[in-house]
Formats: sequence, structure tokens, C-alpha cells
Amino acid sequence: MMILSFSSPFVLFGERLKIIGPKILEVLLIILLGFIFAWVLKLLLRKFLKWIKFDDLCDRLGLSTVLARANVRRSPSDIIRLILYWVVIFGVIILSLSTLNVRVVDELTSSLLLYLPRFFVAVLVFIFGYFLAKFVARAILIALVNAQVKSAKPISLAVHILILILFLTMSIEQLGIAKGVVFVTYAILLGGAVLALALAFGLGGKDMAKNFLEKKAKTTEKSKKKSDEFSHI
Amino acid sequence: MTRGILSKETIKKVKEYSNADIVVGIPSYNNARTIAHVIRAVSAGLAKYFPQYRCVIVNSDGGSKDGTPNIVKDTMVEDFNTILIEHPLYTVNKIITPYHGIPGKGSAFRTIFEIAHRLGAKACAVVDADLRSITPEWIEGLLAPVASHGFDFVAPLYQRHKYDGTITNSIVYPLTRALYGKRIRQPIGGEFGMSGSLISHFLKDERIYNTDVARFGIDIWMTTTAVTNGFKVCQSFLGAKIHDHKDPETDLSSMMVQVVSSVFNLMERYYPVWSRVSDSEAVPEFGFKFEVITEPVRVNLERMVGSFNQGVSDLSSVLEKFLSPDVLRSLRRISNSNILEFKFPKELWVRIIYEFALAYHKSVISRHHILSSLTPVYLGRTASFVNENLDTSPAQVEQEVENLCLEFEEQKPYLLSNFNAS
Repeated sequence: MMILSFSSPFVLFGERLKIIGPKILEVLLIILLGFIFAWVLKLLLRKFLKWIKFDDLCDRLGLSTVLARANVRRSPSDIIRLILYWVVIFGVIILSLSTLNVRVVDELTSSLLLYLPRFFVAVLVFIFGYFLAKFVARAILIALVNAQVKSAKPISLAVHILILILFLTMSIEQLGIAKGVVFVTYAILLGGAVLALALAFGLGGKDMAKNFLEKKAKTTEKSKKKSDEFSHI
Repeated sequence: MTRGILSKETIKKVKEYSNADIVVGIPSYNNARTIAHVIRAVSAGLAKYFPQYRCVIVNSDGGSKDGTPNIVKDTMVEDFNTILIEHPLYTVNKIITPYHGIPGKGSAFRTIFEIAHRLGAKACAVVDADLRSITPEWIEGLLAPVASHGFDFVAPLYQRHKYDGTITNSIVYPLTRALYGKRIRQPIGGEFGMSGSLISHFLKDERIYNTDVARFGIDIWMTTTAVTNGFKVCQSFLGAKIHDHKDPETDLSSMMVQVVSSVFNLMERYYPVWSRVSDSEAVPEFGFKFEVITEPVRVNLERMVGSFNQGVSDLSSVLEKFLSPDVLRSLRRISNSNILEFKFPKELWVRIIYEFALAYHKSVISRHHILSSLTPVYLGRTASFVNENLDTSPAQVEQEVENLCLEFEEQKPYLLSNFNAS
């Protein structure tokens, strides 16, 4: 009787192992296959990125410079491969865990899976914003320098920062982090800046603005009179 | 080939005239002040030098609001007796048509080419509508080499003010000469003579008219196409070139982008041709050369140097993406110099143009940004050119341009080796 009561937990464990054992094996097998799949994918991606000269493209777009500035020593193609590798591994682990049919794990994986697209969209939005800000700021800088506007550099920098803030806000909004707070902060900041400028020009700098505009008009007229008469073509 | 660029009225007019030996095209846009003179000079030139030919004048207008087409319609030479010994067999007909497509000189030319092609013209010339110095002899100069000597392309040769045509003198002429080996002095002159077969060739690639070729890029495209495709090329002396005055600072940057992008795009296309060329040769010349006193022009040196200095300082983050560190150092050194001693060496200028061409070829950043950032650097070189030639004669200035061309030819291996490497 005593022996029976002593051995019963082992029997129970054995019975449970019989049920759960194949599932654990299944999980391990999926993870193993997943690692192999991720490795093969990484290898294929390496060849593909090399074929499309992805690193050269990143050099041209200035992404390599950004990475160098951030002290990242890996090449852009390496980073992409690494990201894809771990995304696949992450997916495989979630897939393997779902085979266990544990409620908590299921809920966790499903909520994670639902959140993933939002995360990727947020990252994409920010990357797009980063390049757009850079492109627009550079275009404005060149156009203003060609028009000989003295404050070309600060204007283009302001445009750069504004676009970056806009896209950062959009990314955070996409992630769903403190939605209202971010939106309100952004609106207050932007509205405040515009109001401050309006007040500065409208009230504080009324006379200064008047003098500035008068001087500007005179200079334009003067420079028109002094323009070159030769044809460039 | 698409034939949808002509309006129904124009097609009707072309059918009415059936055929022509010579077509003279005049692209216009708000040229009411000068176009009557141009029409009279062209009509007189055709009547005087080509009396036995059937001639048509085509005005291709870009939607003028100052009544330019009406002036063309109403203008005629009142009395040919004062200029003619032999009277023409045919009257000179006129076609006045709007052009379609991207607004610009290139689209206007395309319409003229299309009409010339449909009329089966053996020779065609194009002249600007804002010319104040055109004479009937220009028509002979542009058409006689085609009609009587078997040439396919006639480029103009002008006597210009020593500061005039600086994009031509400092970029387009030396660069095209170094690339393709033909010394065509005014590759973007604006007035050209062409054979019927060259016109047909120009109409073959209709996609080209959707690029900057449709605008200011048309001239260099025509010249380069003629040279690289083995057409017989010559140049003809026309005398002084004086335009109707317009503010040349008006969008210099976009004009520059259009012209230089066309040159650089043609470099891509004709790499197999120019990579084999190592020196240059003169092309046959027509016309009697004579000295002309050109109008004095005003130059604002201070503004040009100011633009250069600002460009070097503010655009350093852009320029450092494709200019070598030693070139950037030289630019910074120049930008600190006194305006009266401002000097931009030709060796540095040539190197900069080649590095811009390479950056454009490799698309280091947006191609438009690369070309737009050239404007302040160009103004610096122009200011230096003006500074160095304040008291020189036109002949000495011409020698300066020649020296610059030789520098372009000397540094060509640098361009070639780096073009290859990409």
C-alpha cells in the first residue's frame, strides 16, 4: 500500500509524459527545422542582397553613414539578414509553442502576432520619414542657396526636424503607445510654435518686421537694377 | 512612329502645301517684340538665296499671350526689289501652329521636325524668335552647306560678347569637344541647319521628347546625336548674336540643370563612342569671318562671388558626398579670398565638372540635387573668368576658352578611368 502510494506520482508523471512527450518532441523538431530554415533563408538572402548591390544602394542613400555614425560596424545587408533570421526564429518558436495547446501561451502568441504588423508598419513609417526628411531638407537647402537666401541652412534644418517629428509621432501612434498623449503633445508643440512666431512677428517684432520687409523690397529692387546682362547659354 | 503631335489644322495646312524643299522653323513664346524682324529676315533670306526652292516658314508657338502668332501671320516683306536681283519662283508659305507636349523649346522643335518630315524637306533650319541681330545671310549660312555641299548638320558660329554664353564656354563646348572630339564652338547655339535625313533620325526616338531634351536640352542633344551617329557636321559664321534682353538670372539653376543633365545623359548613352576618343579635330567652316563690336554688358561680380561663397559654406554637406577632399579644400580656400583677387583655376574647374559627371553617373545622391548644387560653383568660376578678363580683347578671351578646352582634354583620362570603375 505504502509502495503503491509512493510510486503513484511517478506513474502519474509517466502517464503525463506519455501524453506531453510527443508534443515536446514536436516542439523541439519544429525549432530545429526552424533554425535550419532560417539559416538557409539567411544564406539565400545574402546572395540576393549581393546580387542587387544592396550595400551600394544604402551607401548612396546615406544609410551606411547613419549606421557608421551610430557606431554600428555591421553592413546594412548583414543587419537585414540578421533581422530576418531572428524574425523567422521568433515565428518558429511561437509556432512550436502553439502546438502545446496551453491557453496562456496561446493568448500570448496570438496577441504578439497581432502586434507584429503594427510594429513593422511603425518601423517602415519611421524609415520612410527619415529619408523623406533628408531629401526634402536637402532640396530646400539647395534651392535657398541658389536663391541666395542667407538663412538657408537653419530653414532646411527646421524642415528636417519638423518632418522627423511628424513621422516619429506617426510611428508612435502606430505602435499604440500613449496615443492621446503623443498626439496632444505634438499638437501643443506645433500650435505653440506657430502661435509664438505669429505673436513675435505680429506684436513684438512689428516694427522690426516692417523695417525688414521694406529693406528687403528695396534690396530686391536694387539687385534687379544691378542684375547681370549677359546670357549664360 | 507616333504622328499625333500635330493639330488637325496643321495637318490640313501641310496637305495643302503638299511638299517643300526647305523648311525654316521658329519656336516662339511671347516674342512679339522681335519676331516680326526674324520673320522678315528669314523671308528675305529664303527669297534672296533660295529663289528656286519651295520654302515654308513654320512658327511653333508655346501659347504666347502677347499676340506673337498674329504678328507672324501679318508679317511679310513689303518690297523684295530692294534686296533681290532674281525674283523667287515660289512664294514663301507660312504655317503657324501651337506645339504639344512638355512646354519648352525641344517640343517646339519636334513639331517643326514633324512638319519638315511630312513636307519631305531636303533642308531645314531653326532660328530663335528673340534674335535682334539676324540678317538674311544667316539663312544662307545655315542652309547652303546642306542644300549645296551635302552636309547634314550646320552649327552656328557667332561673334559674342566676351562674357556671353558662359555655360557654353565653361562647360558645354569644352566638355563635348573633349568627349566627342569635334570642335563645334556653339553646340547649344540655338540656330541650326539640318538635312532631311537627319530630321528623320531626330524623329525616331520619340521617348527622348519626354526628358529635358523637350526643354533647354534640345540643342546639345541635336549636336551630339549628329556627331555620334556619323552625320556630316560643319559650322557656319553668322556674325554677332544679340538677343532680346531678358533677365538671365531668371531661374539660372533650372536652365543649368536642363542643359547639364542633357550633356550627362548623353554621356551615358554614348559611352562606347566617347571612351574611344582621345583628342579633337576642327570641323569644316563656312562664312566670312569679320570683327563685330558687341554691346557692352553689366556684370554683378559681388553677387556672383557672394553666391559662390554661400554655396561652398552652406552646401558643404552636399558637395562632400561626391567631391574629393582636395577639391573641397581648394574651394574653401578660394571662398576666403578677396573679391578683387578672386581666382578659380581652370584645372580645379575641370576636375569639378568631371567629378559632378561621375557623381551623376553613379547617382551618388538624387541627380537633380547634384546638378542644382553646381550653380553656385559655376557662378564662382564665371566671376573668376570675368575678373581675369576685365581688360582682355575678344581674341584673348577666345584663347582662354581654347586653353580651358585643352585642360578638359588633358584631364579626360581621369573621367574615363573613374567612369569605367563604376
